Amino acid sequence: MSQTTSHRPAPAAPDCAIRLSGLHRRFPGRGGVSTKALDGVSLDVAAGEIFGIVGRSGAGKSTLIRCVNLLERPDSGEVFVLGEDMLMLGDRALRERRRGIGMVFQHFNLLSSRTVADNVAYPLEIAGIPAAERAPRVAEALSLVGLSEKAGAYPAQLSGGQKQRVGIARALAPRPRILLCDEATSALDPETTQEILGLIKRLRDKLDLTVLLITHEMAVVKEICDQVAVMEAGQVVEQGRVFEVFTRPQHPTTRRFIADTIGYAVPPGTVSRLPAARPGEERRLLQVLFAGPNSTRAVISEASRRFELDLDIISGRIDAIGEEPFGLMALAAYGATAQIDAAIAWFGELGLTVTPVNEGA
Amino acid sequence: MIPWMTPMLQQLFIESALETLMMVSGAAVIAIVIGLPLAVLLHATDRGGLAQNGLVNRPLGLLINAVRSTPFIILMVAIVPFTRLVAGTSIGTGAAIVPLALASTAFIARLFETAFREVDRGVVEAARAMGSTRMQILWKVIVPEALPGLIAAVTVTLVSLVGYSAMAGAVGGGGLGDLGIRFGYQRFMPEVMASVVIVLILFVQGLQSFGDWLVRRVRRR
Ligand SMILES: Nc1ncnc2c1ncn2[C@@H]1O[C@H](COP(=O)(O)OP(=O)(O)OP(=O)(O)O)[C@@H](O)[C@H]1O
Ligand SMILES: [Mg+2]
Repeated sequence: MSQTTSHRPAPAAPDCAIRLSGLHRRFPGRGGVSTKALDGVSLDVAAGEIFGIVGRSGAGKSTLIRCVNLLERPDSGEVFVLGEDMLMLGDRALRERRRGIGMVFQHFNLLSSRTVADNVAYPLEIAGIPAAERAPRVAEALSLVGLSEKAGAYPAQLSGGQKQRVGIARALAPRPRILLCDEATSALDPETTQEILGLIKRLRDKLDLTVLLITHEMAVVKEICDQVAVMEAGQVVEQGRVFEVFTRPQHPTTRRFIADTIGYAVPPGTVSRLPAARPGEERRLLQVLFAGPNSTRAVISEASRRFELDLDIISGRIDAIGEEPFGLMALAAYGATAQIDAAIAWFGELGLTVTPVNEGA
Repeated sequence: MIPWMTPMLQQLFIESALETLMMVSGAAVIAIVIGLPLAVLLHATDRGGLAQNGLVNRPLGLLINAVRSTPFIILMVAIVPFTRLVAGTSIGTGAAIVPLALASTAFIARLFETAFREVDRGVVEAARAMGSTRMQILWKVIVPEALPGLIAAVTVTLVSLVGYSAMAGAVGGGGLGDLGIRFGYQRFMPEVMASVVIVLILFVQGLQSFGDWLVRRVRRR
């Protein structure tokens, strides 16, 4: 585990659905240089949770999720799924366990030669379930995802969102307890993404699934996850409850992700209309994120008095993660550089998160 | 049937056409039956395949390339002892099928392998994630997904067999090509040559159109 990981008091999870510990995976590269795709990753996913893993391209997210059903074998570390040591299983037992772990892919990966119904039937077919029993279960899975009327269509005749629904129905047909989603919405437009995320969330509630979901978009995490882990260069740099991580991010990577998602760029023209700083002083644009009971107005006027700053509110809004609201505000601070720094530190003590505002826009 | 030919020539023409048909279909059937498992073996033992194994893959690949790079007319002569062993004779239509089958087996094995290789890796990955055995991945995923490519490969092989079969005259295999050479060229009967060429063109066109139609039917993309 790296030193940069910020440990949060995670709730003890006795009924842990997925436990990964100390996973390492190297890929040989060109010229003898190898890539550390996983560099000591440990995660606990509690049963019934939607757990998001977010990270930039190449962070090792896919390698990590593929370790859960051992599509990828880690060089070292442990993989426990539903209390079972996956690395100890023989080929046959492993195939059996994989049938209890559904997987959904970015590019859907449907069989183009089979109809929708036959795609959904595939996992039942290979599990040796007789055709007569398959039909009602296929129908049930298709109705779960709202695609009953497309049973006879071929994948090529479907939209991306519909294809992903088939992918989900196929993953759920064997009635798994765990669902793995590798960038399940990354090939979809924003509206369809919402639709699919909503579906995953409803299915989790209805079927009591545990979902491990990979994404490069913090917006997806904000939308449906309970817990999140942020990955960078093969390591988990931060993890915790989504609301906590969003409102009090510790690691720079997390902050950047969050700024990209919920932060806003100041509307064009705003900056040029702001008064310039007085000689010897500085003008700095700040984004303040606050959650919890603090009245911002009081905090801001107090900061203004304490640190002899002029604080201009440029804009502000209330957003929410799940059911929990938080506020977001853009400020222009005028004053001595040292005083502005001191005010930022003071905001931090009060539990507000301050990040620089993107002035580029 | 063909008014500008004597009845005897017409009779010869029909016989030759049947010989061509026999050589092409006989060689094709053998090529498919042997080529398909070879292609499966090549694909499975390839790097990243279902049963990666360089010790099988490399020699097999070399052998197939060797057969494919030998000019057919040389191959036909070079394997005469083998032909005699298999067919009991080294001349005649039946004997001609042996080298034709050998050449087209190597040819079609490569084409089949290419068709397998074009199957989306993601689909194979999904099948693995669902707990498929290797045999299930092969027969329920790779082969059905590659079917349009496999049919196209058969079409191409049939068409090139028509061409190769014309050379089979060299070992007394007969066929339309041989008829064209013997009468059209050596006895200077341009109308026979023209008829042979036209019939072969129509035959190849028909094969190709049928193959394309079949590919369109099975391709659900
Ligand atoms: N089979 C492989 N062979 C060689 N290198 C690999 C392989 N799989 C992954 N890698 C390397 O491991 C690193 C992590 O890859 P991974 O696919 O896990 O990243 P990711 O976070 O899923 O990225 P993306 O968002 O682009 O999907 C990358 O540098 C990648 O090039
Ligand atoms: Mg990935």
